[in-house]
Amino acid sequence: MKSKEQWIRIGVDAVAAVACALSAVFTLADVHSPVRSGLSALAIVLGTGWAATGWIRVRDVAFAATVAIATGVSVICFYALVFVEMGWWHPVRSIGALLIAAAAVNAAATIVDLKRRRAA
Amino acid sequence: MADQPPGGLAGRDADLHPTGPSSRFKSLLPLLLAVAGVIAWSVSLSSIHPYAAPASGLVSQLSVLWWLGVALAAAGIVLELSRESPRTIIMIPTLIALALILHGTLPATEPVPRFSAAYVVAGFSDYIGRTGTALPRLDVRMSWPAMFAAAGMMAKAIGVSTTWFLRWCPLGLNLVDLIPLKVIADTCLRTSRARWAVLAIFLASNWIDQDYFSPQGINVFLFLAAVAIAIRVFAAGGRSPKPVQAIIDSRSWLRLKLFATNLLQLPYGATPNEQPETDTTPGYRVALLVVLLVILGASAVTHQITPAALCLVFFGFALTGRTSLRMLWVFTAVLVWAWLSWEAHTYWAGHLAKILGSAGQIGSTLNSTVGARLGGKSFGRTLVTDSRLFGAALTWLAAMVGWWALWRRGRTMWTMVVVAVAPVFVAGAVSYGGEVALRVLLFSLAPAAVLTASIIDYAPLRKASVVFLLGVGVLLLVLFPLNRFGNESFEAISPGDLAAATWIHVHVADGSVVYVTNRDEPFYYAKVGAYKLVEFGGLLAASQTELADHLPVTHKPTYIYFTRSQANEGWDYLGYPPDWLTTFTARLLKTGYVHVVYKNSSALVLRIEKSAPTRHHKPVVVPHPKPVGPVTPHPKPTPTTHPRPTPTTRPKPPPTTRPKPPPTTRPKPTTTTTTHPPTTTTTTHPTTTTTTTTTTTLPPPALSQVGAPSPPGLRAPIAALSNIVEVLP
Repeated sequence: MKSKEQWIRIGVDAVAAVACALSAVFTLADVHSPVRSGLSALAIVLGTGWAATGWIRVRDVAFAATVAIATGVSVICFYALVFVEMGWWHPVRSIGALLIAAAAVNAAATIVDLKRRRAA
Repeated sequence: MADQPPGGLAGRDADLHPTGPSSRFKSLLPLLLAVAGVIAWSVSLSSIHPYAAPASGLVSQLSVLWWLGVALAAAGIVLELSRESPRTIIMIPTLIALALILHGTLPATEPVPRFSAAYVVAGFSDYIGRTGTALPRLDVRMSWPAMFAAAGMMAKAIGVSTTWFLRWCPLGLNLVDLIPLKVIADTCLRTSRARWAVLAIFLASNWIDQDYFSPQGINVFLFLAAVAIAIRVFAAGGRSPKPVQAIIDSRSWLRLKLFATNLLQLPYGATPNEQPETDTTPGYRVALLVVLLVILGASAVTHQITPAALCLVFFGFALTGRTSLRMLWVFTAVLVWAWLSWEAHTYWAGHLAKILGSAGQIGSTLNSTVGARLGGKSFGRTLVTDSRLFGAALTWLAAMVGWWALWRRGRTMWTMVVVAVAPVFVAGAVSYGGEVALRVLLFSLAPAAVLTASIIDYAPLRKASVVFLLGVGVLLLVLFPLNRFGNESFEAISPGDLAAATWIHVHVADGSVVYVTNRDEPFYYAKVGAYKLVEFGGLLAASQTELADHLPVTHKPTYIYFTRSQANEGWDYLGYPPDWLTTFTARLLKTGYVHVVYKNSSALVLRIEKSAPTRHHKPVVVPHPKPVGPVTPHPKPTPTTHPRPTPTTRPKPPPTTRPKPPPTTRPKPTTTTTTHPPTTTTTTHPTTTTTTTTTTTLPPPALSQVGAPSPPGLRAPIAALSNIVEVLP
């Protein structure tokens, strides 16, 4: 993988991790902030999607974005549906847990990609 | 997937974009044009008043600056496309500028979200967000609740109302749709110029208005993403399954092919234009297969039509040998059927004949759905509907010409032909109301854009190809405002319409009945299922006497909710007289059973108060000549105690002699009484005054109570609607 691509991937991993972590804090602590809605909505879809598909080595940017967004949309639809079917409905806690998981995966991906970069 | 080697345009390209100090301006010119276009567009917005739109929509309100904005943004794109390899960093902002101008005009000029259907989606999402349960028996769409549940969950978690998603959703979805479309274009086309042109064509041709916040809006993106993954990673190089290949290799088929190629002046041997990924690892393919299956699963639990369309597309791919996943269509069909059997059974168990009743009747289904939308209306409506038909025909015709021209050059693109054609069969497979034709066209837009752009997918370019594509682009852009903004007279939801709905939600007790004339209103943006929403139906044509007889006895609190969007839908879309709602409102008020409880500049809320008639004053019921819709059955007099007079001698009770409903028997919602502001309570729910007194002592418009501004320049009949109380004797 080229150096530029590696740095882009590390950057996306890190931004996704930070966005998911911040959104989790905003959500669980019910922080009132003008950026909360937009940031959280993006983090829920894009952060989750990137956490699920970032490890697939898609080379093309548009294709990687397509896969990540489509997966993010699909995951959040399934996730919400599962809770509806289970009859256990706690939106704030559920989304908070999802964002924490996505932040953890993205942070781990950042570390792995940094290690790969050093090894290369 | 590199571009074709530089051809004859390379030299000209170098001349057009020389290097040197003066080249910076020329190099940035497309971007500057796009910025200038956005500035012109933003200045032009002040001339647009969506709530005063005539029957032809907003096109007559668009100023020269708006058109200049479109022209500048389009010029920026064309200028950049004149390079052999358009720069990504320039193309993205210029495309965003065009998208903003075309798809951002409505949200930028309308202070509240538009389109009643979007409010229903917000209402469903709000309901699941509050309760965590779906209501499949209330509405069929709730049998596919995943997207509503996701939106409800997100809204709760991020601290917004579900209507927060609505306003800018069309622009956002159009931009997001461009991403998988770029992947499809990269796979199907060979030159960078043609690939970028696809995105501009898609933006200009997507007038269909199905990109509001809704399951189908989201599913168009999922549809494009699934197709992109299938054709990019799982392509099969054109070898069909054995039985199909046997037919293709048969002598009669070859004769037919020879005849067709000679007739259309096409080369006999042609190679696929698609360039899928070939150097992929098994792990990569497995990962993307999982992603593809997840997308298909999400589509199956969020929407009715899209998985069916995907199933047909994958079936077409399998037949024509365009995918290595030959059983993917079976998997998709199983997913659809499994969801229908499990979660959506409450709907299809009683409606299977309705769903599949028109199976195989593609022509009649399309005719009826298109015909229903093209009924004879005013000149403005006729202009819009004709323009839409022309726009759809142009999209398909341009795609066919592009495909033919590509084949003439010895290339084929069967994947896009399959994606464009397969959804047509959805119309023949299911009944989906009046919108199925639009959905079919919606699914066809992306492949049509790719096929259209394929006309410039070679180098060096010939003048005829460029002129053709420019002509198509200009026509699409010229038609766009008429097609996209043509329904704004009734699809725009004014702040007053919304304020009246909010007033009902706040002041009217749950379980009450609310009458509307049609469903073009934002009533159910919240509190879905809390009220019984009923349409007037045949009562709209009833005379005042018939109305008085047939208005329901109000065992429950019963209200009427009239908005400008309902009035305009009746006038512009359903072909009613211009003042139909004003007249109907006047008739209602004259019955004496109805009085105004809330009004603002564009909406009215009325209350029906009609107690069951006493034994001796029971009005005689004359059978209504037509079905009168959802009206509570009127008690018939008993012949033994009250001999039925003939209709000619039936006394018409004047309003003054009409039995006044005793205050003790009138249903009085406790919530309304306790939550009303003092001024409203005393004037709108008098327990001792007559109805006439109520109408003459109405409070001033309560718009300020809910903070809704008065929309500028209301059209005359709608203004008359809001002033109906003042013009009454």
